[in-house]
Amino acid sequence: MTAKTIMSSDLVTVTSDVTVAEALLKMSKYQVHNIPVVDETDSFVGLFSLRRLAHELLPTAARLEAESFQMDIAFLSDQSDEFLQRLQEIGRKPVSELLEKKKKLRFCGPDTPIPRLLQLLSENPTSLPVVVVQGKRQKVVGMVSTWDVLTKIAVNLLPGVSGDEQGARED
Amino acid sequence: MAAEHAQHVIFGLSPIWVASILFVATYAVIVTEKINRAIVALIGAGLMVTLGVLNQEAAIRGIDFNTLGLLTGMMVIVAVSRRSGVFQYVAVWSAKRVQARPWGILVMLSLVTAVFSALLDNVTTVLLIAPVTLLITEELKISPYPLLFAEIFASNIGGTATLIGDPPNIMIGSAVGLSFNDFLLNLAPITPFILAATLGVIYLVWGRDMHATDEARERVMSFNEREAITDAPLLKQSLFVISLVVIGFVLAHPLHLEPATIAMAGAALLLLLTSLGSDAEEQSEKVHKSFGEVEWVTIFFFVGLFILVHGIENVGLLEILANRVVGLTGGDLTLTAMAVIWVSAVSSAIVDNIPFVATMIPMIKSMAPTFGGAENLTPLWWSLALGACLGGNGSLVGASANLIVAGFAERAGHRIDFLKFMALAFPLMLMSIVIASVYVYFRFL
Repeated sequence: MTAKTIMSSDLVTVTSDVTVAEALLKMSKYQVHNIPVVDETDSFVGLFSLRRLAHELLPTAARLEAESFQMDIAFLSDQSDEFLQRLQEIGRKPVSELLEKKKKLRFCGPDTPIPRLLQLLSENPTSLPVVVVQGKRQKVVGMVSTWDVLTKIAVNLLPGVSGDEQGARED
Repeated sequence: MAAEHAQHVIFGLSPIWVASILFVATYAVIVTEKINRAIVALIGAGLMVTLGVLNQEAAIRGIDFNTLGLLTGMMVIVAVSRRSGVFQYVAVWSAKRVQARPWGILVMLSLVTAVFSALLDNVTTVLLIAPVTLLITEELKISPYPLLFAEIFASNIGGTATLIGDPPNIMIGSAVGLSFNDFLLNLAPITPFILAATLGVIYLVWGRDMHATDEARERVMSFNEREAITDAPLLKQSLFVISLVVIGFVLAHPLHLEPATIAMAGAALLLLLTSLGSDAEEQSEKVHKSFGEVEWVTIFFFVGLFILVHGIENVGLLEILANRVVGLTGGDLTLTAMAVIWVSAVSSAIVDNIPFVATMIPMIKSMAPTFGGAENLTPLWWSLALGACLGGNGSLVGASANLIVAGFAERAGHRIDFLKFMALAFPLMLMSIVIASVYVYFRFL
């Protein structure tokens, strides 16, 4: 078994010129947490995630991290009006401005064996999916999330559970 | 002393030349900031030993373990206690006490910064106060620049006030045997005046034009500072240990205890209190994390510097330099004190004050015969402390706390321009040195 066996290959992607609002509409329509951003030849540009969106909705000062120390902001009150304002501002930005940092991403090839894939999934600090890319031009061919591992491998092997109980997948 | 260094010639040069070249070359590389300063200092120190200026035993004798112990102990205490959220609590609380008026917040946060910097280290203080400041100014929709500027000054001025406030003071106190109380009685009294004068100028420059809408202030007033306390038991343990340590510093001298003992014992006690009730694995994780947060780069930088300085001291270079300075000032104590405070201030604004002070200490010590004994050098020590600590305000690179604030500001989208900062900071720093000089003159000369 390799990454190819369990990856999701029917990917929903966007190009880097679309706005965050457009990307979010597409993500909500297809019910995905993460969406790869690609260029016209399907080469990987970056990953836009709901995790990053949540981060961006925080006040700027609460997003600063220093020496692995992040400010606790439990003292902030409810600020739904500002939250909406920030959401509107972010929505107008091109998605290319809010991509996940490269160091948060993990890549593999279609032929990557499962053990290495599990390692990549478990070391990734933010539970983002592993992006499966192929060739020199980093063409995106699929993504593997922990969900894929659960639904496509583990469920079939668990005692007393039949495979057809798999629900709607998300990734 | 004479037996400590090799008498033989190295590469056709006498030890005094080798030591001087090594010293100057090391300091030159440190100033360029191209290579991490701890690495540079350690390589310089290593060469002092391998080239035979010092043997290892002499090199280790040159390291001031009292300074290192005091720094490390306080760093551990700070690493543990800052997780309690006490800094955020005090910052939000103080902002609300002034009804979230921008100028009031600037004054309150400056005072908070000054007090914390006096009792803990400056870097941690601004590391925790600057983000809250950015958050508050974001809510108020005002520029954070005047507040951050004031906090930089407050941290360095507050740090001047006590033995443990700033590394130069720790080094001077340790090398000369000046106690916590000596610093409290001799340096602390002038710091409120310097802070007040600084805030006065900041008011004239920005204070009159700082306005926030009622709606924005209302948002800050709705902050709930109690929620900032993330760990109430830890807060109590930290405050208990910090109080004990401060009492310990006050009583240390009569009890014939060195500050490093107090700080290290405090660190161990706090680690003990926070580890009680945890299993072995959890304990080792906690202790490991707390030790990991000690700024080892600074500690090893000190180790390297102490050896380097001991090297040039050992070959007699510092004595020669000291005699030059005394020659220039004609052996006049007042003139020498003024030279020390102004030269310290200007150089500390441009380069790191730690290597400067490390060099100045043995140099001033060797002036003792000129001024009739070590006990007459006291005005020079206070001049060095005031000049080196306050000088750090002169530019963004003058002190590590300044760089931390600038780093935060930049990431929050409010870059602090180097020259723009210096245009106001340098004259303001000179003003504080004028006040300090007048104080030194009337109090100690």
